[in-house]
Amino acid sequence: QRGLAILFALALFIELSIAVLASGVAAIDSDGPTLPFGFGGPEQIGAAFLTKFLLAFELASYLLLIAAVGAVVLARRRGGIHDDAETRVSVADFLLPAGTGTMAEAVEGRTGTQADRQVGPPAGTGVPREDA
Amino acid sequence: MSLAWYLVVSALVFAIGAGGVLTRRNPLVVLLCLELMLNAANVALIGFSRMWGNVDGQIFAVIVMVVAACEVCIGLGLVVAIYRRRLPIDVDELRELSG
Repeated sequence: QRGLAILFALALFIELSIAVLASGVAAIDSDGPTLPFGFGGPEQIGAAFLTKFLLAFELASYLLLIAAVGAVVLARRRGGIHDDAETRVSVADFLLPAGTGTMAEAVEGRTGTQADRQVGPPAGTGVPREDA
Repeated sequence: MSLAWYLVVSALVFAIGAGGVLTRRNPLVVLLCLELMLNAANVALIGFSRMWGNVDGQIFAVIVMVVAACEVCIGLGLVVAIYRRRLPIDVDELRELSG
């Protein structure tokens, strides 16, 4: 099956090359026109984005926002994280001030460090509570 | 450099990317080969933009790069979600949507 895919890729390349070189596209053999200095430079691209292609620019930024939100939603843990996290306490939990707004806090919906929260079963069940 | 060189390079990279997408089993490598294909299209766009002296092709190439970035972002999120559910990270194994 791997050989078949390599054969397909080779066939695709040959077919594309034939299509390109035999298509009779004008100026396919020339070196291209002489263009003003700064063609395709940042000024020209920026001006084009903000005047002629403003809609594309805005839609691209919207698409990036949607993709970022989608990636956060896809890579979220559901439930269970608090049971795993509370058995492993790292130095970062005590160095980060409360409500710093790290990505982990935003995704898990918690603020503050481990030291601020009640860890383990409620008081009165006989199991000692871990304090910072 | 005539235009033909740019187009042949674009075709070559596109064919390599297509072969990779069909051949590889690791979804991360499939995403990489997909990026190869998109960048090959970008090369063709830039070549034509240079030929016609028109900056529209380069704008389109930037938008294609934005779309490629978004799609890889979502693809990686999917791979992370698959990993968290202890499913095999193998595009041959993950055939069905439900279950």
